[in-house]
Amino acid sequence: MGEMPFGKGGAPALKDFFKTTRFRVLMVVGAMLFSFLLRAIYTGGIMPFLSSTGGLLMMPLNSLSVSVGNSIQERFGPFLSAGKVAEENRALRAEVQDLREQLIDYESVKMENEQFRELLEIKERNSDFLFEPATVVGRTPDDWFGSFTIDVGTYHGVSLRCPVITSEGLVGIVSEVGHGYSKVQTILDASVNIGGVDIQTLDTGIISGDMALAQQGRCKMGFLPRESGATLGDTIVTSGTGGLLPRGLIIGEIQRVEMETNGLSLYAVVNPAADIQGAKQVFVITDFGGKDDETAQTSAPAEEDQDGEE
Amino acid sequence: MQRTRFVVLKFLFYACVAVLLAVVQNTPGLLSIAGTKPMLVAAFAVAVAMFEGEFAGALAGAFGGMLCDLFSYYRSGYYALIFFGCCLGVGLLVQGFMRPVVMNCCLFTLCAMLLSQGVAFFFLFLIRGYPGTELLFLFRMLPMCGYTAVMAAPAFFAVRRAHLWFQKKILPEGT
Repeated sequence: MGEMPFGKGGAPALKDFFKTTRFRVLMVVGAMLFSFLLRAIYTGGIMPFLSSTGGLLMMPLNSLSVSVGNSIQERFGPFLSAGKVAEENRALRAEVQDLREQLIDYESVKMENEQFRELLEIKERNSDFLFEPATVVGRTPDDWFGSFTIDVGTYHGVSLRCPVITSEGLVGIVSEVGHGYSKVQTILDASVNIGGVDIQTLDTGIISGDMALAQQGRCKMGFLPRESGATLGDTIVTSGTGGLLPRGLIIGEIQRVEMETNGLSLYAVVNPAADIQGAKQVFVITDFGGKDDETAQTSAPAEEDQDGEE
Repeated sequence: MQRTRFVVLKFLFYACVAVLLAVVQNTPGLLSIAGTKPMLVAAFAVAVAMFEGEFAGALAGAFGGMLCDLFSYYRSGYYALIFFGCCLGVGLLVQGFMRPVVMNCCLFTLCAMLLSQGVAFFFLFLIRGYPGTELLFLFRMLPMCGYTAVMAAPAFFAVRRAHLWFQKKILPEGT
């Protein structure tokens, strides 16, 4: 342990290292990496060749790893959270009597069925939406705002800034896209700004992340007028301004409304409708009516429009 | 010929382990403690740099960084560049000044992680003036750096074992 496990005889002294060919080679590699980084920053995308190649290699491995992880979690999860399971067990005991005759698979089939039904409902409500179902294949150690990687990319028609949703509501937007994968920035992210509207009061504001709120899985709706009537329980949906996101996607519910520190406007703490940290299956909206239409108006959500038409 | 074959095998082995660790570290929920996950590839690259010298170490750092970049929150190429520099530094330090022991490996990994997260924190969050940025650094970034430094210990022993095994095959008898 105390000895050097490899001989130092062949290695050049540190002061001579900078004169060696090795150093020059390393400098060339470093310069290449730096230029890649600059390109990625400049284009707002990713190193096309390296990332796409890497993505092709990693995606199948990560998909496999996710499915293995899920089955392990299903089998051994209860043992790892015994307290929670015991509590759930007490609550579920009453239900067990009614469900005894049902098969174990029934629950998962039912859940899946519900998920598809909700998807159908979204589809029926918004017939102009084009969906691409996706699986969350990666959550990195540096996913500060719940960001994640999904297994669909340009090959599946996904492009930059496509909205990502679950059956419950908006999760985020695609921030980087490769051939077979995309990175998703969530609405908890401080750098995300989305136009939102309160469907009860029709007050508009900007949905963005907040460092402190993100730790609690919540986001903020800022720039509400001081006279706003927004209150606890109000539903917030996307306003559709700018044509980046469709109108009427559910974002969440207001948990509380407070005055900004500058005293000029109000902000609302929004509890996202979607389970952002725990999402496993999501849908990417690859196209919708009015996409990239900068003249899209901020108005009532889609449901209200439909009601109005009826 | 035999020697070259084992050298190639060794680096192929390191590459495969790095890919495996990247898959493990990015799998949702795996190794997560209170929402904090370690950056295993970084710990592994530092350990490789300690045993294989500055040249191989720097390339291992760049490769590991690229694997991290594939899923990372930051721009692609960021980790590749940072880990390239860190592993180059680690390789040079171990060649000239420090001993390849487990404590140093943990220390190097902690420094590499603090540097990578510190630079990102400064440019992405602090200078943009988001409120509450210190919470992110204190409660998310620092625990991740610490967790990664702890995981550097098993990475160190694994790399040392592999390195010694391959060295026996590569170096002639009696050297």
